[in-house]
Amino acid sequence: MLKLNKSGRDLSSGLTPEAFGLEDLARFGIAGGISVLAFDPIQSLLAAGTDNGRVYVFGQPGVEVEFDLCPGRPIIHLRIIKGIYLVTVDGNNNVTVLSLESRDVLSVFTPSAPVTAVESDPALDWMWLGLDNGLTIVYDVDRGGKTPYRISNLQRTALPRAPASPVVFLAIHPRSYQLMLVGYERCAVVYSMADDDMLLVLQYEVPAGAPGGDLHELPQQRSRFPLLTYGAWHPNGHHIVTAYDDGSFVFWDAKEGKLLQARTVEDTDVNIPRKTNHIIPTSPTSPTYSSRSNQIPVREPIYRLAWCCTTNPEDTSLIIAGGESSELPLRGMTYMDFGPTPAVKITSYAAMGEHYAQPRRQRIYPVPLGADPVDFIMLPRMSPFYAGNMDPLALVAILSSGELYSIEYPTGAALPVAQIFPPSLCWIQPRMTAVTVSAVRREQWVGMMAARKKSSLPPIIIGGAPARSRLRRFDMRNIIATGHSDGYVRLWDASHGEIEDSVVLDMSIADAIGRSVDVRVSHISFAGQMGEISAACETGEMVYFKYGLNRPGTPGETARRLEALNIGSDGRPAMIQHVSDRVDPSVKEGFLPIFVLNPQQGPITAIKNSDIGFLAVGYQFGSLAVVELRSMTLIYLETLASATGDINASSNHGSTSNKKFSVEKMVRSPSISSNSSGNSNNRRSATASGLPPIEVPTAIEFSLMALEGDSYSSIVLSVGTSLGRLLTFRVIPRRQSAPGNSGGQHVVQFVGATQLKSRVLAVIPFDTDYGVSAVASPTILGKLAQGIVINGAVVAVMADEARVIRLPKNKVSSRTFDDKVLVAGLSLLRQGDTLVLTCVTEAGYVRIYALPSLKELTHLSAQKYYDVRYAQRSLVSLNGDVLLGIGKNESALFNIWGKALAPKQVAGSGNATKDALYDVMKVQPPRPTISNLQWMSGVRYISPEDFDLLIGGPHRPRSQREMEEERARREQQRLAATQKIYHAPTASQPNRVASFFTGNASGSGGAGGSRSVGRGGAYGNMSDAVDERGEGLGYVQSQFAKLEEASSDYVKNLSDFLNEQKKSAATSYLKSKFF
Amino acid sequence: MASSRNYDILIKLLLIGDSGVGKSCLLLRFSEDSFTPSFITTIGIDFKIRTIDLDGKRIKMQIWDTAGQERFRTITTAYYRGAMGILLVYDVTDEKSFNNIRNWFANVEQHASEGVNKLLIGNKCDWEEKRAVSTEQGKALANELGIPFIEASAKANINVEEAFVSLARQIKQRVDLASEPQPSSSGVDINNSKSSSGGGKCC
Repeated sequence: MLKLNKSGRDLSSGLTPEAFGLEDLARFGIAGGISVLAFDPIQSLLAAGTDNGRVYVFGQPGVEVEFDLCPGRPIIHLRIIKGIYLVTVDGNNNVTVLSLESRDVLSVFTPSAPVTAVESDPALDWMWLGLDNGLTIVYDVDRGGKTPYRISNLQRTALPRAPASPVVFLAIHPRSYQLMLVGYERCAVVYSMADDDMLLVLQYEVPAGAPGGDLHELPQQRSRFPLLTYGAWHPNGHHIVTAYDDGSFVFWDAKEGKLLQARTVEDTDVNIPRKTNHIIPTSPTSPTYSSRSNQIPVREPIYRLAWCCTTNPEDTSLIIAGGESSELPLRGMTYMDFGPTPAVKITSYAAMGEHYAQPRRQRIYPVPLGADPVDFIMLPRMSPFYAGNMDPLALVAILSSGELYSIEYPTGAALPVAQIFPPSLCWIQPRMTAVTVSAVRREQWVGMMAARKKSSLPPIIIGGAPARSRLRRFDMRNIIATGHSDGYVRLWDASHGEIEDSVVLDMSIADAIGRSVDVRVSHISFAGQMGEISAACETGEMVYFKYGLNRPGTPGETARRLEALNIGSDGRPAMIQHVSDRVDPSVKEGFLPIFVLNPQQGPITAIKNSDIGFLAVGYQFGSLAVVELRSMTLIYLETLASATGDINASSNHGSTSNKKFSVEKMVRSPSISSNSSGNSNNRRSATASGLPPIEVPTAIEFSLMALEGDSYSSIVLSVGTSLGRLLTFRVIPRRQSAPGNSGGQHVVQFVGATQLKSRVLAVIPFDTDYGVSAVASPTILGKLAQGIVINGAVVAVMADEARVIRLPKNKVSSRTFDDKVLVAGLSLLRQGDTLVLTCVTEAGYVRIYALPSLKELTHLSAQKYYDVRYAQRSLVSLNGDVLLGIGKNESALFNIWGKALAPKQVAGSGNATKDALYDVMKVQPPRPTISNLQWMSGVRYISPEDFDLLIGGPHRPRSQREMEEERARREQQRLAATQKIYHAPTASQPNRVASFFTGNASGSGGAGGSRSVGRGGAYGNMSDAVDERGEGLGYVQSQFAKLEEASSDYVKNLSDFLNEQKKSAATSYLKSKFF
Repeated sequence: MASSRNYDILIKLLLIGDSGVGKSCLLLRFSEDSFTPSFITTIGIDFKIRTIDLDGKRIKMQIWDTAGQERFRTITTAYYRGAMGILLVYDVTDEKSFNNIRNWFANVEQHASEGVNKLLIGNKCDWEEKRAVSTEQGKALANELGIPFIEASAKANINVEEAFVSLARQIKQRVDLASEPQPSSSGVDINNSKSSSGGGKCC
């Protein structure tokens, strides 16, 4: 079998440098951290702005459009207006309007002073910009220009002696858009834009002796004016809530400006001086404030709040980010469910204050990620109105670290991220902590995806339409597995930009281990062909998942198996703990947790789940564990030092008993205290104590090959170590006669070691005859019984050297690197003569070496994207894909066979085939307006046209869209006149929808979906009438009998409207038919 | 409902115990005098307020109901600090929950403020035919841990009020005692606030 010459035949002979070229295939993840989010429920698009100037818009699976607006500077504000305009304010103080339809920048505007607050409405063309100097200006998003309208610095007028303040926030009244709540640091002002008048000035003073939001007594002795941080309207506009930097928030009556209730998340009536000191937490019973460096405890400012409602705007709740004591070691968000608002007209201010003092339910949603939630958005089911807070399904919190955390509303459960969000956003929900790539047969992957757990939640982000840009067909799909800081492992197809299916499969090690903190995933190994995943937790536990059907096992059998496998009979936790019972019962088929391996050897340093039923794990304490997966038995556990030290004793015979002994020895060894797992300090102190460094496994691989001197092939386990040794083990069947009853069918035998130069990064086996990978695979394993001999070698890659070794120790070739290698892997184009070693290097190159000679074939520059900090996370896969880490949360997919493979269609710059986002057929419902009762009681109503005239001025140009719409409308009318056949059947549908959106539950008539139709002409006038009375009409109609006192004109209009209703329904039907 | 505007003492209580022992039900019974037989897992922390009159003082009780599930344990312990009273709840029909009380107690010792008042509650005491933990066992454990004990039922409304009120009373006594040595504790907190916060701490 040693008939080959020493270096073997050239396995890269079929390649020339011209064959290579780095083809840029796709981007995954998000550049930087998320700074701001916006969601439009009508178009069903989620937009995310990052802290380095990118904006991503996500729709249904596969839809992802990226805009690079201001590199390096954060996106500060982001809004979607009318479903078609995406407006951003960035760190350069540019206001940019993007069209979601054409994906172009429509206009850019730079205000004279920094923008500190923005407000917009889904139905209005305007974007209010609150400036640093206290002015509020308005930008015409539709036509692209600043309007003549402005709101002066109201605080200067209201409180002339207060220090100058920027506009802190802006909030439009949810029903009457001419009312704006303008927040300054010292006061909030209700301003009527129609009357150019300050209606209310809301100033919050905490008198001396009142606790306010302060947790310490010292500041409570004097009167103070907390600074305003945020504010919002009650969904029906009855009340206003303002939030302050001392963590308190105050409810006001929106008509009279009367303070109803001032409270914090815990306490109520905090603006009322107290006779005695009630702040018990500072009483002698409480411990010192040591949790955060002996500081005086303070309440976090309230960063953001949302006044949500169910489909009934009177049934409200409040979500608050911030406002908790800085003492709490864990941040959360507070949810207060107030329930139905008492009837405003007949409830006293005191009773209303009591309503806000006593929420029906209050809970804290913990955010267990070690970062503070600083902002959040609600994801409403249908309505974009009510500040985006009507009938929300979930909330997405933006953490101070730029990660996201999604919470189901109102239960507070963590949202199944993988089922809701696109893969790119999954990378930061939360932070990705481990990544690996594995090849899976296409049919198998499709089967796995089909069995994906169906979400109990309806899909949320479903807008847009994906474009297919490239199609690469491979039988093997490259599956990326990402591990996250909350214990989730997610799988998805790395070529998601190319195929139809880009959904994500997920599983949680947190559930399997049974806790929800300290579950950061540190390593993953995915045996794609076997459907097995082993995921390591940072604290040293490892969870083994296997794809399968979820059959509830009989408890008796589980108990028996558990009994048999409890190695530690002395009451210590078993090294292998079966956790099949911890599977989510709702999962029918999928990756099920089978066992947790925890030999308490410190954190995991390397892990390999082979495709042939063995699992090897390396630990920080220098030990190596091997599990036989079929019997779920730990067949080997030994430190590398002792494993290689007793080579002579156990070289050939009697190894079985030796190993058995060594397992027991390890178990009994008291040197590692059982409670030390997860405590990384222990580890550090151990290594720092002057002892020679522990040899730690750093790279593990299983292969099938004949060792030198053998005339048969065997399962070879190669382990590269931190001290630069390459250890070779053999996994051999256990002889039946051998003593011991551990249950395993195989034993691990140490064969030999080779000393190399430095820490081993990768151990890569390959077949020296056929030029393919020699990584253990089930098909080859099956052939071993026929006695085939696989001549193989291993490339051991270190940072400064690679060496080809015929195992266990015969060097074939070697090469030193000047440019340090970070990541290495094998790639091939076809079997036989195209095998190469692909390395990602420190200087930003992808270097390609021939095998087995290790001659450099070529190098490709990736420096354009390159960042050495993240390149360590790169991966190389067998088909030549290089997944290069290019940012904290971003990776780029390249292929090294750029020129040779010639993908079927390479899109030019990608622009031509970008995903579509805007759907013109999704019609936005009319904006909710004041109720009929309010109107009759004299609340001022201003029509949208008058309002546009007020803001836009008399010289506002007509929009392109208006002109187009008018043309379309004429066409429709013509069609409607010729085909009057279609009407009645669809008449009820838009009415129902409209009444839903306007929140008028009793609406039986309501306004039709005629809002999309423009103005002008007899028909247009009539539709104006529809809009003008909006949702009120439905109510009126049902209350018809009571309306006798109303003017007869009005009733006449009403019946006209009802007739018109049918017509508009018919036209909208026709529209859907023809457009 | 009585106004919460005026009160003399604000106390913070915490309910802990295994999942399913009835912590949320006890709280619901105490705060709203209602009961639901359905099992809804608490996620995170729920929070209720009730104001009671006790020995002529108005006591505002802020009660934190924690998730019992193991996986939320580390989260919920974060909220132990600052609690003045802790109700350790087990289910008299579930021996495991009773045995786990020791773990919960150890947890309290580790994470809660020193000197916090504790109370052991055996819930579901109306369910005699299913009983797995006798009253004597409960008493014995309470004696061993040195804390008071009461058996209650949220469903049948037995001893729920008593449990909360007795714990509130103990805390009130402790607070009264602790504030007595302070020269002007009943006066306006102009002068003593600094000293009471600085000097009164026990650790």
